[in-house]
Amino acid sequence: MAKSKSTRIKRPNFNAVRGRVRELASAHGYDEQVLLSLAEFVNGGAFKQAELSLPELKAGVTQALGCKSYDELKKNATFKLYVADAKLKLNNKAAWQQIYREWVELPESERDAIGEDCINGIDIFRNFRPWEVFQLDPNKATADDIKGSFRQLSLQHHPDQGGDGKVFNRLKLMRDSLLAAYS
Amino acid sequence: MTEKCTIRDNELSQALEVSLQRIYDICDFFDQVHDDKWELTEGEHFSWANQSLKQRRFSPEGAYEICKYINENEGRQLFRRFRRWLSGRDEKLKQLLVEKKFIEVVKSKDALIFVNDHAYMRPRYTRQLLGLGNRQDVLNKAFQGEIRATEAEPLQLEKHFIKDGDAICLSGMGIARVSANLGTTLTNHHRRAWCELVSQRVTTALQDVVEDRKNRPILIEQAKEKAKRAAKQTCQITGEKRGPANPINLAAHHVYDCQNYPHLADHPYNLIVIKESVHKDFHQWLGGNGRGCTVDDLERYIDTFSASLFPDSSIGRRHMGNALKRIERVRQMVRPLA
Repeated sequence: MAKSKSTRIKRPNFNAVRGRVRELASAHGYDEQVLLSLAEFVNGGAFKQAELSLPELKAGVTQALGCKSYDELKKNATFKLYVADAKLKLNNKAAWQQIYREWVELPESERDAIGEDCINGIDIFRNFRPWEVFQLDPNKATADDIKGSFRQLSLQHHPDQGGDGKVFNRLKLMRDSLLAAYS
Repeated sequence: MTEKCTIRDNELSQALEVSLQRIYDICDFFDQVHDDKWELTEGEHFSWANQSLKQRRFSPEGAYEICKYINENEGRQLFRRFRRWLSGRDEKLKQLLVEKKFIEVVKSKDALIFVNDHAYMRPRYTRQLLGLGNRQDVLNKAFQGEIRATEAEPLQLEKHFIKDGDAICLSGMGIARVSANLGTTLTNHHRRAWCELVSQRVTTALQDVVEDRKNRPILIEQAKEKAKRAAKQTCQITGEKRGPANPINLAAHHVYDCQNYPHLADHPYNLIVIKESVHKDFHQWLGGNGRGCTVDDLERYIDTFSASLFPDSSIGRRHMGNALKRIERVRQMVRPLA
């Protein structure tokens, strides 16, 4: 007998899987990558990424810049200045993803990231999200809080502690960028 | 008074959709019929572009009088069209003046810091561009707002800004972000519109400056080679010609030095081709290569050492005269730009 629609189990998408993996890893002290590997094994292979489509990316950027249409966005002075200075070619999706990340929000497909370059669910080389990496509230954090969080992360990521030098430098960049708001 | 009259006859003819001849028929009518109602006064409504041909330029008031005449006598409803045209024209003029101002600010000597071929604008000039005057507090608030952003990515050191001591200098991308922030947070409608205009104009001006800086060394070398070719292997002070019997080396000397006058570094009149030994001697006499120089220094050098520079009395006098004429030309052409 075929299952009715109401009893059919809906498979979670990759974003949800990653979120759950991180939850479990955090709660029980498991390694995130090991849990993800298990999930992929059960799935029968790697999960398909659920990325935003190009029209969705464009729509998000259009709205974030206060424009009513894509035509208006193309004429928007701030947008043009940004694209020119960043030397972006708008005929490829990667450029729109970059703009979306910077101007709109962290895409859902990039949240709860798991991997070697990931700290607190953020791929630190793909996304510049220091508040999430340092796990601080931007409205409440002080300069000392930022320095404290950085020190905590240094214990794990400083090259002298066996960490990756590139990761450590990226963390320093994040710290210095945030501290500029406090000088 | 003449500054008021900036609307050309063909501009007005296009704006009102009448022929140029019709415009002048109306002007003739105004001149011939001394009716208090229809009058065009020179200086107030028009000025002469070419008095012998009776060609005119009009002020907005003069253009309005003609528009009013056509409206009443031809039954055409032109006022709304005329007002829209005039405000559009003013807007365009305003934008052109703004663009000129932006280019001036961006190309100011101290406006930009260059780090790794990226340009960052100093706070004072950013405030000028954004129409904030002395309100560094407003600029700081917008900057901090973008660092504390939660939805969008926060501003990043080196990408959006750098620190120059305590000062925050913004890149083009940084200006775009801060300008967008001000666009949403400023309560004054004109200020918001200004920030929008800034972003648009700053792109081209900033890009021009960065490109210019990258290409500068090449342009300077090209200018020097061109100067040497134009000098036809001759020292333009001593008059000596390079050849097999006189294998002198020639250098292209910047009359106004590159360090203090970078904008003149590739100006053709700022370069003089002289014997390498004279070039070295001149700089040593001045106090070393690190010391700047101007046209006055070169003239003093020639006066001081004329006996050794021009040993042969009759030919020497001719060469000295030519050298001094060249210096006078530099004074006329280049000094006003220095």
